Amino acid sequence: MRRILLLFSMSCALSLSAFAQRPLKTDAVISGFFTIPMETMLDTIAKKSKIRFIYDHEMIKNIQITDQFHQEPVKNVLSKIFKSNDLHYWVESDQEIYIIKMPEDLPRLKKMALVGDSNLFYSNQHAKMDKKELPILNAKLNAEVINVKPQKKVEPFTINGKVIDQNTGESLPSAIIKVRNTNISTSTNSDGYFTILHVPSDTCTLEINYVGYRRDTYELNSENIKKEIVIGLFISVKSLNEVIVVGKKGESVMTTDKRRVSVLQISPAKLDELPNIGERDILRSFQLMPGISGSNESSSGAYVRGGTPDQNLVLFDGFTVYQVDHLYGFFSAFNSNSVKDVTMYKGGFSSKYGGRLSSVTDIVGKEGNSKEYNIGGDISLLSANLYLERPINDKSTLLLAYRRSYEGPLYNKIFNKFNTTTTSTTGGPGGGPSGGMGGPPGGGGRGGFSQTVTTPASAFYDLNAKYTYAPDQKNRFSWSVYQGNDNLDNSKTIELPSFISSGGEITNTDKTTYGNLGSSLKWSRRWTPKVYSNTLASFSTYHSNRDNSNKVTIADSLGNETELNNGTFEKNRLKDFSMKSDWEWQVKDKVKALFGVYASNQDVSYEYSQNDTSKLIDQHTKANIGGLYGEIEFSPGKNLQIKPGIRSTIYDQTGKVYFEPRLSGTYTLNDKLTLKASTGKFYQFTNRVIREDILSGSRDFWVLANGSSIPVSSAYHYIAGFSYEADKFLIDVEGYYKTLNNLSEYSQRQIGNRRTGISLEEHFYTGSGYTKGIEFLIQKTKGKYTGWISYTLAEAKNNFEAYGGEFAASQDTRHELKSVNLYHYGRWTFSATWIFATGKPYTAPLTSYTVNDYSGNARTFLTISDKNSQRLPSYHRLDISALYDLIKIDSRKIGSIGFSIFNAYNRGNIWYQQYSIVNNQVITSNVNYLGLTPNITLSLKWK
Amino acid sequence: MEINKNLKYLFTLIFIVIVYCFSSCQKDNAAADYARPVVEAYLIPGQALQVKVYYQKYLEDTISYGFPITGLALKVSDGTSNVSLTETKSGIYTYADANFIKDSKTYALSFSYLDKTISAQTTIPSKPANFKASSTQQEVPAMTVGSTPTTFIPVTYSWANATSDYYMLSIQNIETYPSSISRNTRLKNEVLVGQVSTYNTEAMNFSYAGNHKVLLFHINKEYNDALKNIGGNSLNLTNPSTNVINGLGIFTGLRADTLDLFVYQ
Repeated sequence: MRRILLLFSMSCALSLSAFAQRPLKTDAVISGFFTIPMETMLDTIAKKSKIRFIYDHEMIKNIQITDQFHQEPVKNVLSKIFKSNDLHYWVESDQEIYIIKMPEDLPRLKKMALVGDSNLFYSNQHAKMDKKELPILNAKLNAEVINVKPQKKVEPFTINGKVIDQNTGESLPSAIIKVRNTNISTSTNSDGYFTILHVPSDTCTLEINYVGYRRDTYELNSENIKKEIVIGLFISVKSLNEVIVVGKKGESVMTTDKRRVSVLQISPAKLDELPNIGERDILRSFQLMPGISGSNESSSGAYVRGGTPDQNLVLFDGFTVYQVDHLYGFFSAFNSNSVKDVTMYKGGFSSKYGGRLSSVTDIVGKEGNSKEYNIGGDISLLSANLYLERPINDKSTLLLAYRRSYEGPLYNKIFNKFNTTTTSTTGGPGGGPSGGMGGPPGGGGRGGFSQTVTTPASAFYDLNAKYTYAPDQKNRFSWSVYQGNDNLDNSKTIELPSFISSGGEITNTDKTTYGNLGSSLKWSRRWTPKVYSNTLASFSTYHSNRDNSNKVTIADSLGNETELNNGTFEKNRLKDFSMKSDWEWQVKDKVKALFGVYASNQDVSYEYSQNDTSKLIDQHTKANIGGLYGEIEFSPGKNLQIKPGIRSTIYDQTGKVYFEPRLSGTYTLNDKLTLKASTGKFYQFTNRVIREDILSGSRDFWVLANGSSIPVSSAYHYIAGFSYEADKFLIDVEGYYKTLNNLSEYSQRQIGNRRTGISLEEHFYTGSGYTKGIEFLIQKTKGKYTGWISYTLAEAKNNFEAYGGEFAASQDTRHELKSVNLYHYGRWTFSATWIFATGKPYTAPLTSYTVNDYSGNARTFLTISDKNSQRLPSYHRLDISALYDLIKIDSRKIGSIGFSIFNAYNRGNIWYQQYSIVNNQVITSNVNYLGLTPNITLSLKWK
Repeated sequence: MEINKNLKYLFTLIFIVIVYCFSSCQKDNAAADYARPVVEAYLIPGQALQVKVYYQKYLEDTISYGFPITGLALKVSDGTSNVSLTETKSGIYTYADANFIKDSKTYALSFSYLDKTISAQTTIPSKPANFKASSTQQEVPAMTVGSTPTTFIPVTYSWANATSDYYMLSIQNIETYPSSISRNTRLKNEVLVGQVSTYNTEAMNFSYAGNHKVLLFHINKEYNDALKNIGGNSLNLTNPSTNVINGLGIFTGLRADTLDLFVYQ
């Protein structure tokens, strides 16, 4: 801990000492004789040097340049023209130059940018911002284009290129590129490449959109269309007030292949503006969107549209991650500093993805800065993380990120939530069922002893590494590793007091370790501008161990020690080796084909042993899965786009072939309104089983479907909706209906007792279910105040014969309202999120009764309500936060300090209830989720 | 405004869909069935038939047993004759003829309560066969702290169980003035041994020293299921097993064999 603090204070000091204007990096030279207005001169320089100028139109509108240059470096040209006009310039971090008269102009210009002042002009090689914001400049440039290059008729041609982050050189996947004033558009693939066929003219302008980045434009000309176009985007600053999470549906973007249904995308770079419980959390941020439940504090996994987290496929750089959270679910397992792009498909997803019933979360890791060395990190009350990115040479980059928790107050608060020992009455005379969940064995009866309790080491960490090598323009190799582990140790050692024995101790070991190690090797190749492939070999392993045992050592007066051991040990292992090859082929202007093959070998084992000797459960299953898929994206009409696809999988445990037809489509009614729908069939072969009793064993484990006791589950999705996008807001509505078949539920019952020997009865129950709902999203996308309100009306029902028919699924939530509010004021961002959700269903005891057994000993039982027929009180909470950007005078953001309060009004939301029988009376106690929890996060980066 | 018109249509459509989707009635989760009576009856050949009927208890009740349900008309049929039980005490219904319960016969209980017929059925299991003990004496070493305890040597009971039936052992102290050897105060310790054919005694089976009777009961599965302990929290609650239709509790036949055991410390 001390080391971490030291490191951070050092990096703090270093970054603060580096207050200076950045050097101007350009080798461009200017030649010619100019008698033009200053603004035109700046445009000319901007085009040559790839620099963007930001200036107050009023300040320089009357300045005329009359000068001659011969192979003069841009730096000299700028010095000369500015000096002679009593102007200065300030170079920004991302090669943006502010033109100022005096130092105070810099903050003034930035303020103008903040409020979107129409006098603030931008210029660079691919010109300006939005048309509306810059009417004069656009008019001027357009005029110039018309004058200089009279339109000539050309045959439609193909362009291809790449979208990157201008600062780091990182490729940007899923960016949307649209040819202005046409309905031609496309999106970049996972490596940032795009191809547009049938571009009508070489004077067209491309509009580029990417969440979290400034919208940009790129003007085509007869030269640049001949080679690969590289478009560099700039991270949006707060002045543009882009929203962090954008429901990226078909919307106004009239794409031919970008109109997607039920897709959410997130920009990790801007996550710090939302309140957090200790960490910027990628998966938790999705929980603020409609259709993804926000009331499960103990799971950062996604409950999407009535599905469970194991029905959500989580891919990190192509490999499946089985353990998506840390610390019993409070934090997602992904370090936001190592993540570039996260896309969630809430349903009806493409046939490219499979193996899960509900949804897909596709996470793409950062490749690392290809331009310069950078180091940064965050520290909060929970954890510290550090990342390093650097170009190794001009062809390869490296990114390393490490995060580790420390046992600070926040960590302990959450840890203790899961490890409270409840005193319980156990069956004495007249006693009944052992109430409550009990603590770990040995949990009771400690009172009165002077305890020496050791503090065990308990922590989580994760590590990301990615190496990318691009030998040429066509090939790209990347190797990505992720490892995350939790070591949760609640062990206690209690020394026996001397009046009991001459010495001895009770050691209660309660240790849970779980984690995931995954790695993928990816080869991307651009065979031709129209054919692109991505081939991936990966492995992913998951492990979960639970050791809950007691060791009692008693020493007699002679010092002889007697040792007694008992306890339970659980072990769950999963190994997954996978290969896949995904291909994209732009067949024709409006037809694109996606196809691929995949194969994986999975090996799952689960052991449950008693006293280290007898294995009560020892399961071991191996399965091979293989298959292929194809999907075609085409537009039969101008406004209609359809994506039919099919996926077929062979699963060797059942020996059957599973076909999954999928179909999705969008119809653009007009500029603003898009209708969309999708449907499909989905199969799942690997299930995570949740144990009922959350304190007395590992909470969940993975199993493979075997076709008999655990069948292969399947689902049908039917989704329809529309989105309406106006200038400043977006409305998105989607309804869904999902049927689920062959769901598995598991219960484990311990039979007998120590006297008779313990055996475990395992019950797998099979049933079906359905979920339905409608989601509304109203989002304000521009201005100082941004945010959204989302509302979901939903129902999730299961039907298991073993539970007496239909009942509300445990994750069923009728109403869920979320309000996310962000307000930008100078360097501050204030945010408040409020979540309201109907209480979760639960099964409760209704009455009790006592009968005597034959021998006359009373036994008390609880009668239980129908499965999940009761409802917990509503869940609601308010989180607030304030974020202050640390900005150097050259306005580079080098970090931020965030203050957040989770559950600001300290609402006692009930997590579950427990029951115990004391003096024949049934005592119900509530176990609550986290109360008011403050947090501070400091983030810093070197560059 | 075409857009507005479109929107209006859409919202209307959505409204209709919502109303349709969510208008299905909620199942009324009737104030749980507090009305179900609790039945307790152990049918043993040669003993008079006795059936207790109680109310359930509310969760906050502190009474040991539910209040008795009085004034019921209980009938038990053995297939040929149908006898009526008499209420001898509040909630305790008996049939005095000790010969009514016979080996291997099936008995059916029925009575009506709050417009419902409460019924249960059981068959008397066969008498345990070949019940033997490895010893007629059991030493229970004193619990000592600080010195190595003397090893407890169990007595092994065995019986014939070729068909994996369920068995229960009831270890009963029969001394008039028993002397305690443990903190436990039960005079009768009952062990559901399950579908086994041997049992080794443990120290905790014995609370008192002196003469004991060890009764091996051949029981029905319903007894085993109804009386085994279950744990419960809101995530792990299961209804207790019962063979009483429209009721709770147990109506079951048992058949015992007995051995003597002397316990000393």
